[in-house]
This record gives sequence, structure tokens and C-alpha cells, in this order.
Amino acid sequence: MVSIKYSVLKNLDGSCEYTTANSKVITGVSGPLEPKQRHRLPLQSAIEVFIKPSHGVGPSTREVLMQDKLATALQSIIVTEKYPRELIQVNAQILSNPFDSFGSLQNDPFNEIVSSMIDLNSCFNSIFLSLIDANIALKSCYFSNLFTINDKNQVINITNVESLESLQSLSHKSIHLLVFEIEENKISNILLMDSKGTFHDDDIIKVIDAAQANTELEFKNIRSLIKEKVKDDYIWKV
Amino acid sequence: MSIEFEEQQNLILPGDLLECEKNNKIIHILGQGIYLTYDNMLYHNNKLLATNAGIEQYKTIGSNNVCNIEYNSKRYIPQQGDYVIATVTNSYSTHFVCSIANFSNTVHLPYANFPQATKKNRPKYENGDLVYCRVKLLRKNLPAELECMDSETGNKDGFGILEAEAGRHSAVLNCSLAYCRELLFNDKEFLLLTKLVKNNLGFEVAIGVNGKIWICTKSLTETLCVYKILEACEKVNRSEHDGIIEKFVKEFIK
Amino acid sequence: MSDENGIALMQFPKEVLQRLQPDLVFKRHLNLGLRPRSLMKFDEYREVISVSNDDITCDNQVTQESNTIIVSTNTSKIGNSMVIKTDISLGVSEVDNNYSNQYAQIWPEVIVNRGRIGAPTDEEMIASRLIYEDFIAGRFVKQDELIINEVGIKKPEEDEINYDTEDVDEETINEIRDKYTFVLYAKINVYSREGPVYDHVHNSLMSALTKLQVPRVFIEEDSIDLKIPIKKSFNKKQTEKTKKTFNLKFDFKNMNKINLSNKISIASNYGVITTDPTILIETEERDDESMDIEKPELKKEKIMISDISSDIEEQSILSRISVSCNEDGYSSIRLVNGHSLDKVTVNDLKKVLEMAKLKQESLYNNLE
Repeated sequence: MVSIKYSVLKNLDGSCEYTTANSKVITGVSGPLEPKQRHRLPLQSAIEVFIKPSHGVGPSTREVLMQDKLATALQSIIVTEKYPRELIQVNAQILSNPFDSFGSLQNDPFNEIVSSMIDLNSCFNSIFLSLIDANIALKSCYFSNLFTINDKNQVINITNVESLESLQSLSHKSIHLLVFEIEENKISNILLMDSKGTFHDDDIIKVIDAAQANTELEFKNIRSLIKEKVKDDYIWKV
Repeated sequence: MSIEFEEQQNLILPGDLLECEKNNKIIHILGQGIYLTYDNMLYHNNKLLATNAGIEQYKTIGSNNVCNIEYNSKRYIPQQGDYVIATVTNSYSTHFVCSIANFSNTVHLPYANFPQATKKNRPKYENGDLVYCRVKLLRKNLPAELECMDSETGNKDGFGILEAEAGRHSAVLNCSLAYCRELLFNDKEFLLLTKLVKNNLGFEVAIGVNGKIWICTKSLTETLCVYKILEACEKVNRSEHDGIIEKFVKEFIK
Repeated sequence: MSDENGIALMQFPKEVLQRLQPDLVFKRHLNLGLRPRSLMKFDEYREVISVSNDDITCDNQVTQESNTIIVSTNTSKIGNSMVIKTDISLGVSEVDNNYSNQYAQIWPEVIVNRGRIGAPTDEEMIASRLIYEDFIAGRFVKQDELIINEVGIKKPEEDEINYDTEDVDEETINEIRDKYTFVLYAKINVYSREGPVYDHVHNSLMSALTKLQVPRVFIEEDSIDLKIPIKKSFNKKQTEKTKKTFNLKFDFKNMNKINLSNKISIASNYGVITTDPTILIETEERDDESMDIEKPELKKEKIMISDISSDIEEQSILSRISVSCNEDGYSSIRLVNGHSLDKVTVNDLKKVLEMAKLKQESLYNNLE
């Protein structure tokens, strides 16, 4: 369902194309680069994130908020002390979003939130693989999940919902983006949690449990993908 | 090295526990891809942190145990003692400013780091010239420093400007860092360059570990041929190298 | 003392050091058990004095250009200096049928006044967007409440406006009825900013919402038959057409209170930071003998700070949680671990959720 292509952009240090059932992003990472004077931090690297939306010229407020979330989360993942006075630049281009077609957001204003969460979720996962591809020093791995709770109190993984119609017919009560940090192949902590809607304590527990199970499952694939990438990197060796 | 790779393929991801830490082996020197944070030094009993995705290597060199993570990347970060091909981008009264990776921080090549340097004798390099040199010094808060000689003996030692003589043709190939390292340091097992010579291709070559290979031959077609072979061999298994060499030699030379 | 590079020891006054090394200053304070710049406890919040009113200020009578009808305002003073002023104003737009059974949106604009002009800063854009999303997520106002479904008629000679138009067979009224809707705008000004603004801006807007009201709408009878000629083309035979227009007028003496479908939510923020025992300022002078005693093992302590409230705290606390909730549950949680050492764990999250509920209870009455 999820298809991942790494090193898609030859001239960048690291890049990745990440396709889920309903969205597609392409991300690139360059670094460490020489920053502009005003971005230069004496003891750590600066992190710049740019997100371009699937239509229109960005970044608008919607993308600025996403950039902010990504930049703060990456701050604690990248070993910033290792690249003092340098810049890590992260670019993301949203290629497709389920709500791209005109007017499809208008059924329910809540779709505005769903739409940007879907982008953010794909960006998170794609940027992780781009960072691995660029070999930027990281403190841990992470994986992002997107779950929704509908009016029947079911927990649904949005990345698997394919068509726009079924996305629109989900009557979201709340939507949760959960990014987990993975250390030593185990989930160690929540890196970012973004929940919107109407929900209670038990909903939070339910979503965290579901997201943990999903992360463990999905990260196995990511791990084997990275193994394949490392093998490919040294293909001339064996 | 290649045999080791086969035997213990310990894939390490950022945040993973190192295999040698699991087995409580003593490590004297930390190599690339392993990081000891100040915080872990103080509070977590020197717990090591893997920072890159690659293959863990544990070797004993002399009396020291060295552990590093072998990974391939595209962007070069200067390390002391590395051989690099630098591009001159600017010159000042005391030094050249060089670039060793696009858009990365620039490095300095002082005039004093040339053989037989005096105050008046200053090398006449122009912007855009390629120089083969070595990283002499890395300083925490200043640009890295290059040298164009063996600073112990003062000899030229093959460093200097990379320039095709009249009638010869040269080119620079950009490729991944691990491939360059393999070509430069593992020439006993990685016989690609030897194979090229066996196929009657005569060429000069300078390999910088910053992902640049400079080649110079006596004709344009030969330069192209060597360039294409080196480029193609990066992407395929070693067993296919012979076929690629044969194919390109046929295409360009005969 | 000079180090190997020959740089002499420099001394900075407190204010300068605060800007150079905010985390150092902050952690020194933490070791003493204090928060910088205020004598607040770690789990203390700044006092919020909030005044909401439903006075109507109507700019369109003053100037023709700005058609701002402010229907609800809130002024909050947070702590000693920060003041947030929220103005909810109205606009009118045609009804989109798709939206009619949904919840309404608000179009906020957050302005952090800091003596500069130019494009909005990232902080302003982020706060505006967050409020926009919160308003959607909170499902506060039904679109139905804003749709103009009754139109009065004012006869020129009478002062009274007749809203009982069911039996008035007037084409224009039917044209207006259910075809237009009010649109909510919020202009939020933040003065003398101290610490992250988002949560306080959110609370100020929520408070203003409780006073939200919309005016009744009427038209003047003599303007009903007003027709404006439109020239279609100059070259061809002049085909003059007329377009019917009407002037919607608002009756500010008759306001309809908007009933919120959900209770307003209260936002509060928390941060996590660990102490750094290595920078402990030793207050007692050690005797030479004590040098032999083994150093006690260093221990870090995690401290939860509520209501991040000064520049120093804002710059050094990077792992934050922001929760907005009402009596019925949560409407938004934002947890970001921006610092690799000071991390918010699930247990911290639990603690924060409890604290946020308590805060909600205490602030709710204050705001409403």
C-alpha cells in the first residue's frame, strides 16, 4: 500500500518519494550546507524546512504551521551539535493530496484539518528516509501515524483509506497524528502528538495503542528497506 | 574488507545499540557514525549512540580497537588527512578559498602550505582550477585548512594543480564517497582501475575522497570511455564490471 | 582565567547573559528553585484578567472604506504586561449550499505588535492557523445560526421595523432570505508580548465568542425598487439592462445572541526541562579536605513548567505540550519534543492532562 522510493533526485544529498493510498510527497534533504549569516548558530546546526503544497504557490499559513511542526521535531532528532554553524535544508513537495479536486473540502470544514494532517504525516515519513539517504547524523529513528476516531468510536488508520468518497464519508470525531521515536528497534517515546477534534482520555489511550502497534509493524518494512538501500550503496563491493 | 562485509552484516540504524556494546567489547577509538554525547558521558555510563544507517565494523588496529559505521553518502565533510580534489573559488593575500563540496562551507588553502613557499613565491592558481591536496587541519570554529605538500618532508608528493597538458583531455567525475574510498584505498582487491589498464586504456587519475575522480587521457574518446566506465561501475555488481568495460571500450575505441 | 586560545574571561550583566545564553540563566534559576523574571512557582500560571463585552462598534458609519462591524470584543491582561485584544467582526457572504448544515468557520488574524511593519511573521501565521483549526475542531457555531433567515422591512415614514414579513409578499425579501450568511472575522492584537502567545490568544477568542451576537437585518422599503442600469456594450446597440439591488441594513438595537453548540475550550501550555547539576553554583566554600571526597553522583531532575511566560523560558523550553479542553473533553492536544534531552513522556502527558483540566475549571468561570 505504501510505496517508497529513495534517492529519486540524483543531485540532492538525500531524497525520497513516499506514496500512501491517498497521498504522495517527494522530499529532499541537503546538508550540511553553508548557511546565510543570520541563520548561523554558534553551537548547532540550523534546520530549514520548506513545504510546497500540491496546488497553488506556497507556503501559506497552512504550510507554515506544518513547517514549524516539522522543524521543531527534527531539532531533537538530528544531532545538531555535530554540524555547528551549518545548515540542514529540508524540502518537501506535496505531489497529491486526496482533497486536491476543487470543492472537495467543502463538505465539512473539518476536512481542512484532515487534509493538512495527511500531508504532514507523509512528509514526516518521507523526510526520515531522506535524512537516512543523506546520511545526516540522527539520534534515533521515528515513524509517523495518522489515525482518526469516527462517530462510532472506531479507530481508523487514514493512510489506508483510498478514495476521496470514503475519506469524506468518515465522520471524524477527532484526528490524531502520532510520531514515535524508535530506539534500539523499540518505541521509546512520543516525538510529536497532534490531536484535534472532540476526544477523551480513553480515546487518547486507544489511539496511542493503535499507533504503537502500527509503528512496530510498519517500521519492520522501513528497516528492511534501509537494509536494501545499504546493500545497494555497496553493490560493487560484494 | 569485503569478506568482513559478507560475514557480519550488522545493519545499524540511528539510535540502535551497537553489536560490540552488546557484547561488552572494549572500544578505544570511535569512528564515523558513532557519537558519544556529553549527556551520556555524565549520566548514562558512556552509552554510545549510532547516528547513521550503515554496517557496523569492529577492527583491531595495532593495540587499539576501532569501531565505526560504514556508510555511503554523497556530501563530503572534511576529515584530517583526507586526500581531496578542491576547486579554487577565491583568492586572498594569504590563502586561496576552495570548495570541496558544493554549497558546503568553504575551506582555506594558505600559500604557506605549498612546497618551497616563501613570501614572494606564490602559486598562480585561478578561480575554477582543480587542486589535489590534503586536509591538514580541522579547527573547531574556523574553516578547515588544506595543504599541497607532505608537511613532514616538504615534498610535493603528487599534490598540486590538476591540469591536462597540451593535447590531452581531462574530466572530473562526481560519484559517491564510499566508491571513491574503495578505488583509492582498496586497490589490491578492487581491481577496477587495473582492469582498465589491462584493456589498453592509458590514463592519469587522481581520486579525491570528496567524491571526485579526475581523469586525463590522450584523446577525448578515451576520456569519455573511462568516464562512462567508472560511472557505470558504481551502480552494478562487481561481477558485471568486465562486461561493462568491454562494452564501452568497443563503443568508444574500436 | 584564560583558556588555551587566550580569550580572557568575560563578565556580562544579567540582562546581556539572558540574551546570550538563555538556557544557562534558566538552569541556574532552576537549581535555586526559581523561575526567572517572576517569582512564580513551577506550576503556577500568570493571572488573567479578562473583560469581554458585546458593545458594537461600527466602523462603516465613520469611514466608507472599512466595513467593519465589531460585534464582540475581549481584552485580556495576562500577567503584568501582556495584553491581548480580540475583536470579532462580521461580514456578509452568499450561502454555499454545501456548508449550510455544517459548523461555521472563523477567519482570524493574529497581530503581535512589536514595533515593526511588513509581512506577518511565522509566529503570527502559525497562531492564526492554529486558531482557525481549533475553531473548526471545536465546532462552536452552527452555520445555521449565522444564515440570514429573517428580513425586516422599514417603511420610510415609520421608525419601527416590521420583522413579521411572513405574509408580506415581497420578491426582494425572498431573494435575500436564506441566501446570505454572516461570516466571522477575528482580529487579535497582542501587545507587549511575553512568552508564547497562542494559548492566551485562543482563550481570549473563546471569551469573546461567549458574547457573540449578530444584528437583525432589514431593508428600507423605498430602496426595494431601486434598479441600476448596466451597460453591456458600448459599440453595439446599447442593450440596457437593469439589475435589482438592495441595501442590507443592520438593526443594532435588535441583536440575536448566538448560542454556542459546544462549551468554549480553555488552552494552557506546559513545558518540560531538566536541571543541569554541573552548573550548580556552589554557595558554600569548600575546604581543601573535601576535595578528596568522591563527587556525589550527578542527578538530573525533570521539572514541569506551566504557562511558559518569559523570553528565557520560551527559548530554553523546547519540549512543550499545549492542551485545550472543556468540561466535555479535549479539543486539541499539541505535544512537540523539540529537545533531545528534555523529553515529554507519556507519564508527563498524563500529568499535564490533569493539570489542564484543573486550569480549565478555574479559568472557565473567569472568562465567561
